[in-house]
Amino acid sequence: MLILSLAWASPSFPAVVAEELAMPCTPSCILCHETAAGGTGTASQDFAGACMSAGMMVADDASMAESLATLEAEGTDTDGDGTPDIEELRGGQNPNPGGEDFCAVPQPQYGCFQGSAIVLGVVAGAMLRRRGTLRR
Amino acid sequence: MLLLAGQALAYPFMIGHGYTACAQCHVDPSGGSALTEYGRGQAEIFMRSVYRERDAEYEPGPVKDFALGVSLPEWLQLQGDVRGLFIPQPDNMRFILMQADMRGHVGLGAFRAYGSLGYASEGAYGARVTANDSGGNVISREWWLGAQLGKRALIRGGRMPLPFGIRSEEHLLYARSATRTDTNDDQQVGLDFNYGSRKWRAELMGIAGNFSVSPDEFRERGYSGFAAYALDKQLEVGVSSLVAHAQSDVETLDERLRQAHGLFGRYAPWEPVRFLAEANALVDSAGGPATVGSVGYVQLDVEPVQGLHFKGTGEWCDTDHGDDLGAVMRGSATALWFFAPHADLRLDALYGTLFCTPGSEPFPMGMAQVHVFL
Repeated sequence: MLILSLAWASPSFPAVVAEELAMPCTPSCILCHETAAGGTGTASQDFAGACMSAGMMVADDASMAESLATLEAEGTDTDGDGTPDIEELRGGQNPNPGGEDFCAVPQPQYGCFQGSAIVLGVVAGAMLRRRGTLRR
Repeated sequence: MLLLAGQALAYPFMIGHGYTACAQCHVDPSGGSALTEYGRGQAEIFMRSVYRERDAEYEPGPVKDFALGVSLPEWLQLQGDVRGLFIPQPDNMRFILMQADMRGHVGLGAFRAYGSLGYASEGAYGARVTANDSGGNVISREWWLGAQLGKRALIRGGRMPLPFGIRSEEHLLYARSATRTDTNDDQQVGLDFNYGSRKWRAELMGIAGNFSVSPDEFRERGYSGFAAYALDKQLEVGVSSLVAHAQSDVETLDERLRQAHGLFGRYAPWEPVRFLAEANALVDSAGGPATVGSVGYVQLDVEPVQGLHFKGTGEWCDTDHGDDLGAVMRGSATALWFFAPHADLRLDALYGTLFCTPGSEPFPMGMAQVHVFL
């Protein structure tokens, strides 16, 4: 087939980190990137460098998980605060120097069927009621 | 946390066949949903490649119907879509099941109901019904109940794509992702009024939030709408506007008021040649003073023989004209081939950034998609 792809984004990494380390929340992209929007070429946080040194490759979830294991085995402490990076992440903290903790503020949760069902029920009820009114 | 996943059908290049409106062929009068009975017929007549000569009176047979031959009652439309994406990477071929959706529409008198239920192997956060962060999820992109008000107007309540700009199957366009108006998972719950006449298309939606996201502080409230006027069968121009506020934005986690206002147009100077263009101003207040940016694209679609399209697209996006990061740009070349009934193949070569992230480095990307629908 066609085409090459020399690089690719890694939007699944936050979920991989959260799952591997059983974090209390999914970290935002600023764990590795300059901003929460992420983006190729913006992974300039110190922790991103530590992960890449430990073997993490772009768009490769398995390499992300392996790099976390390596960082844990080596006891890497990126911000030098005396608490290893992996331990900080398990506590929902940010291992980067001066970084805000991830789980201190509410994070969006996805997959809320209950909310949708309530709205659908309200709309259906209103429309059926209107239909009944029109018939009368 | 935006990600690749599936999308609904919406082919704005149909203006080349004289269709400025979408309502004839789609259940959603602004396009991007299941096909109507008429739309299934037009897809077979106009969209796919023809390998034998057809006479002028050609009528598509049962092959146009659901599951290639199941005739459904007039009040019921069903459609199943499966779309797979292949991404060549240095050491492997990544596969993403973009779309595996079943969609259904019921129309009884003035009453209308529509919904979709599907599965996404990854991404589609904003449409998730289940909450599995480490794998696939059940998703529902759209569901709504509506009442037809005469032939031209429809009022709906439920979860729908935000009416804004050119609705397109290309949900990765900067103009769609930066305004959060794609047909992948950017749909929101709200109350919507749609009007369509021979010359005019217009839609206005009051946004009550995306109820696949919780807690409530992450849900946006506001409005989104567009109005478009067909100067003739091959030329349509329109304006769009969107204002949405969230106590806590899903990306920035700050209180955010985001606005987008812009223009769009579609023009087919000759049946096989179509131009699409859209330009929007982005006004954003997220945890600080308002910033002003812009996003847009120009696309040329050429269909040298029926069913085979070659596209060239140029895009830009700048979230803040006042900073020194500048705009991100992306160019892409696409081949799209409707090679058989209910089936198409798409190849894309792109150079740029995946999303509107000024400061990011451009890079080459390639992808191939296969799509079939029942």
